[in-house]
Amino acid sequence: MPKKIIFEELGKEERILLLKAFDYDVDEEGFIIDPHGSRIPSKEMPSQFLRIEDSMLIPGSLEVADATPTAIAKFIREKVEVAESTC
Amino acid sequence: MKRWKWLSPPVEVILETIRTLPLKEALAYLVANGVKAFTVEGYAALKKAIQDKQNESQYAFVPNKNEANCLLNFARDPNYREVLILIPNYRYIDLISTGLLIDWYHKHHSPANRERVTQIKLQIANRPNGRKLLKLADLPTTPFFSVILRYLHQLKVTGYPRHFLEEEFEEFVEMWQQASKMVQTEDTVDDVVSFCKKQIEQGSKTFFVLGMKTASIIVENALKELVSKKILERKNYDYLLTKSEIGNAPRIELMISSKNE
Repeated sequence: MPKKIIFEELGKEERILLLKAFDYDVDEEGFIIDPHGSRIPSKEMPSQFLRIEDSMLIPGSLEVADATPTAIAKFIREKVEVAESTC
Repeated sequence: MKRWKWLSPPVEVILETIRTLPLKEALAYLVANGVKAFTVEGYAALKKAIQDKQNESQYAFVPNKNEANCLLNFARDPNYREVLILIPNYRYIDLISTGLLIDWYHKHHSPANRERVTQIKLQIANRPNGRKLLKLADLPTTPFFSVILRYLHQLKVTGYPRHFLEEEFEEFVEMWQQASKMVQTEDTVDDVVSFCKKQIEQGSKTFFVLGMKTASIIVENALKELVSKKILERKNYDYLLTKSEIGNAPRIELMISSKNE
């Protein structure tokens, strides 16, 4: 069921803390580590891994995804209730 | 000289403070108070509080919220809505929104926006099948996008199934750059007629000619010549001419299709 979502930005330390609340982490090279200890492959470029600065943290309970416009558009199409103009 | 050591408030105080704060502010408060992980003894309650706030599902954290909000707006774009109706299961449907974003950046040009367009295009080009994906992302930045959608809409009204519309759209993505001409004011009627003849000789199934403002007259005159010399008729081609106005400026779209397909 689509929901109203607010897009927000977070500082790097806050992002890391949110990830840690869900047992993710970030390695010394800036890649996000999942709760099993593995880097997370990008869905758009499977040979690459998600970095803290160019990933999207989305509800459910916490999902980590690519933050490219295409990935954000997919998230909006599938999960977000489209309300008023904000751009 | 005495050195002061900064002490963070007790956990109970932190917990009470973040209890009413939105997630973003709660995280900022924790960071400001030296909380960098939840492994510290007694921080389990803080971790739980952050989890609970995240589970309210109110926020999506992105690198650039303005850009994300633009994408949210494009979900209301009439052309995008039309795409969702015509080809809802198209594999690369979200690249249409990316194309609309690129178009938005083009229209709000600044050095930063140009740089961002380059970055986005590079990301797309580096994906598997990047060349094709780039063509698709470029399509919504052109006037041919609405022409193609109108054509697909007609097919839908005629009763063609969705998978056929997807196949047609896929073909347009591949060929729209070669099979379309945006007529400029410096083009002549002969230029347009030559383009059409070449498309016919190559056996193009469908091709487009588009003219805006004074160029619309050139398109109309070219069509007159194609018809009067029976160029289309002899090769079994049909045409659809659509006239509209953007503001006070006339716009003309000519779509020519083979009757053999």
